[in-house]
Amino acid sequence: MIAPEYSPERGIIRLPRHHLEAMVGGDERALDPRDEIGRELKELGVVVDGGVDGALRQVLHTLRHPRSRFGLRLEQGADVALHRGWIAASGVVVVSGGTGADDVQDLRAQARPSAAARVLAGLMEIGPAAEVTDLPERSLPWDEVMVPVREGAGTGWARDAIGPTQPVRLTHLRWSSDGVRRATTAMVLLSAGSAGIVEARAADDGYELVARTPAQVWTGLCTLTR
Amino acid sequence: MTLPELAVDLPEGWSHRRDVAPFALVARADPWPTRLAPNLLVAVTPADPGQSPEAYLAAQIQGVATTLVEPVLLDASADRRARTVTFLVAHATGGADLTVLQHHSHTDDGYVIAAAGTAADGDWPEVAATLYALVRSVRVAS
Repeated sequence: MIAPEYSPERGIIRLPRHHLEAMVGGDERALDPRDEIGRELKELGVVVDGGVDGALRQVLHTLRHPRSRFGLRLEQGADVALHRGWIAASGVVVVSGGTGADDVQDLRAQARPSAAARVLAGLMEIGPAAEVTDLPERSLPWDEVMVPVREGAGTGWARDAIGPTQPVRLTHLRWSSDGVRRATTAMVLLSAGSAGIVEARAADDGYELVARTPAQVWTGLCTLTR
Repeated sequence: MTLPELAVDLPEGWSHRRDVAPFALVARADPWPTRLAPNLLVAVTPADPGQSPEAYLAAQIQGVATTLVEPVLLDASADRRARTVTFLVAHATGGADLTVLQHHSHTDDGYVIAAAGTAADGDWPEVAATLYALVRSVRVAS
């Protein structure tokens, strides 16, 4: 389990979710050393002389005033990683970690909103990949789409399309274009490292699997984030 | 196209590295509505005759990793028959977030023509097809 840590000069900001939400929401307990939250934030160095440390102010501004938000779920076997992103004029903030109140969240910030596509590409691990062939021609129900993600390399549709050894990971990107409305699905990828990238597109009777190049995915991310 | 003769007063101890880049071409979209116009930079450098396309590509990628800010290598491929390598990188600079498409061709007379098309990430969807065609069009004039 990750421990809370505040060392912005080293790019490390790790805070319990409850504490982070208190600060973003302007909860006065975050600044009150008599309260448990305020005391812990002061001990970490997040609160200094009764105020939020300067290095965190721009991050909080981005979290409070986003022009768009995203959610990213990465799933492979039993492993699930969750990332949430906020994009504002003041930059991009990615918060990674579990959904429990005490789960420590790892914050990473970029000072420019135009970094959003590259931040997403990094999180999604978009990189050189072969072109996938032998994909199913018919649409698949979601459970069948997910077979190689849940049951491992060489299972389901991936046996012919990806091969017997390369595990498949689900990347589900959700997007809210105004930062307020509920995020909706923007991109669903099934990637197998250098063995290829497949997009699952919703169709009338299930999900259509379409081979994608890394450049196509990058173009999609740039379109989404601009 | 004929290149103009140039003159420059080099400081003492500096030398003209004709061996590194005997020819360079810079072009850009003009006018362009945003601050950073999509652009093309071409340089011709001597090739290492003993280096395979795959080794050349690996060296280029290593160079990208060590010289660019926050680079993300998005795509890379080597075509042994065509003696070309192509790679796509997103990276940061002090003031912009850029996508760079590189296409390098080995010539019969021992040079590498390195063409780099660059655009702001926000402009990439609009110019991607143009830059792919542009960098692949760079060739030795017949």
